[in-house]
Amino acid sequence: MTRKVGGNLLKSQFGEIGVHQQLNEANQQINSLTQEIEQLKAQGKKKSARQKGKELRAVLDDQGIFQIPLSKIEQNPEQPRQTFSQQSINQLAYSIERDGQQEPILVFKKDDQSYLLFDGERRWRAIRQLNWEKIDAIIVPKRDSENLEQPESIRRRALLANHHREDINPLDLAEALVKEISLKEGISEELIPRILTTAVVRLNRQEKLAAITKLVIAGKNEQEQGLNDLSKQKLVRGDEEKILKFLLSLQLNPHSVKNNIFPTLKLFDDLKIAIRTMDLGGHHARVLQRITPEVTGQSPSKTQNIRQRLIKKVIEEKLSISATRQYVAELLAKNNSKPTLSPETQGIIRNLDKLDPNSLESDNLKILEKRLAGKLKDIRRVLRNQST
Amino acid sequence: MQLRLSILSNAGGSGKTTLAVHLAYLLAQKKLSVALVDLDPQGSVSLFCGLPQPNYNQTISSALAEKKFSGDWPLVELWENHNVKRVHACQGELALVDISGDLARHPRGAYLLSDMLTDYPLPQDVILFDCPATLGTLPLAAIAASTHILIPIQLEPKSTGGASSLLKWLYEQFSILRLNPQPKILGVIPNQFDHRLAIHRNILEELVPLLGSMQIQCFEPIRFSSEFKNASAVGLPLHLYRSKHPACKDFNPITNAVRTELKIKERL
Repeated sequence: MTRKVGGNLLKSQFGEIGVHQQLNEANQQINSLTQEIEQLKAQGKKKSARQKGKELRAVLDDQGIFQIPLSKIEQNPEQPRQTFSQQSINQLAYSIERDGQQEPILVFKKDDQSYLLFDGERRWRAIRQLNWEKIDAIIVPKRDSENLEQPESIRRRALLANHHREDINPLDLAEALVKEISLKEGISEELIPRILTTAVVRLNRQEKLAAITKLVIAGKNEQEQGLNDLSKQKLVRGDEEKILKFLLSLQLNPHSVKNNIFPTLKLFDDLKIAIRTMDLGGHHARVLQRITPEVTGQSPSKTQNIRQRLIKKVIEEKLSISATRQYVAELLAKNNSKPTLSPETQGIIRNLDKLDPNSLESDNLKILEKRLAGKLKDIRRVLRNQST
Repeated sequence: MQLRLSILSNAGGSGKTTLAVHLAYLLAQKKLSVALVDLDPQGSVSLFCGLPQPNYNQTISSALAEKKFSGDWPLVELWENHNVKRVHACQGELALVDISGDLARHPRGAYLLSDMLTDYPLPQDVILFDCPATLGTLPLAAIAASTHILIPIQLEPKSTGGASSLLKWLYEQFSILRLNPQPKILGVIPNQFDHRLAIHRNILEELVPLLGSMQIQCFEPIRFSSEFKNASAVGLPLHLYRSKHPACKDFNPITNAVRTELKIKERL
């Protein structure tokens, strides 16, 4: 197949621009709607303001609803005070208690510890009255001329929405996922990969992974139903279900995320940099992660140099994963006096180490003795042949 | 009604100034008055138009640096000897490097140029901003003052890469600066197109539908010709240097697009 010179270059260069265009359009809509709402409220046109509020929520909808602690939300001092009768608040509180909060409020974010109420004061008062800890809210990008930063949350969500484009590296995806799940579901960031691993391992053991894989491309309802079933069978619990639900909603296979995406979070810094800036593949990086000071017998900085050299080689020569593995094995054998054991050997030795003769009956011991003796004979024979 | 057009590229040598100069000439031929503002520290407009090196107070730098600009834009008429009317240049030069830094520190920074034009409007129908080949405070000031944007590129990887980063930067800056209305990206112009080169043909072939899918117009390419260099060496547009050269017609679609935009604005 002849490669066209210059072919496919543009796709990788221009791939992400669509996302930026979308972000820009969304920002424009948000700005104009926010302005309109403020004007309408100042004019006392409550109904129109509410209508525009609905539109704004629709635009911000795919940004996600967050559960924000009520203690962090203040009333907006710039907004005109609104009066609500105690009776109407009571009514709303009762209906929210019974049916849950149907519509999220809108807030501005000042920083991680404080939010300003923008729309939904009635709901806010009612839920405060109920003494709930958290309230469902959508965060509106802040309309403040000093704050000229691109809302990180919009960028992250756009990234997640477009993760199936080829040019998002596994590390950035992992970080965005963890951050988003942590904010959305209130689970601590460091725990998320472990929780996913536990769930996936359990599902694997119970042979339910195939079912999960099917859900990846299923519709939202099917996904919820499927997870519900697993939960009923006690195969997934609380936080696990939340994480699985989130990944499935992005059409990400949880098994693949556990094996290929989240592990990038634990890579050495230099490998992370290489993934982000030099296009190093996730699989290659994990192979290179094996180059640790313990295994090379060198200082961490010398070990880093060794890794760096190999990263360069992998990228410049476009090495395959198996070629990379070979190089790593050779490198470790060269730099280390300890012989490198194949995974197979390591497994066997692990089992051998676990074996405790004191815990076995004599019948079993006798069979083991015979078998091991036979194996030992074979090993010695092969070694003899190898050395000749 | 006035059109203000930034010519940006984020890659050197993509033909910004050539485009600016030729566009200025052709619009004037259609009876429109043009001000060509050079925001490039290299001062290439002066070079390509055969102007002598300007004094500092004859340049845009002095206007931007003035604490109290009073509206006397330093303009010089272009191609008077060739009986061309209606084209004026506001020259740039090295001091723009300092201005670039000043803009970063000025409280109205990005909006400074726009403020100056609001307070002291230029009378011309079209203002062209020839920008430096980077993403910094000078191009930012230009887009904050612009109604339209043109992006010339070479059909080579470095230039297309620069263009893609430029587009991302533009969308970000539109948001950050809260430009309302946002400048319209009038289109991308493939420059110096050499049909004999496979890489040019291949990139052009891929570029057109790619930009189309993003609703960005890709103009017909301006062909490569060494006569462009010769013309600029004597400070003339190709149309005055070799009026019968086939490359002269290559700019017509762009000129027409600009005129159409003016008509649209007038109707509004």
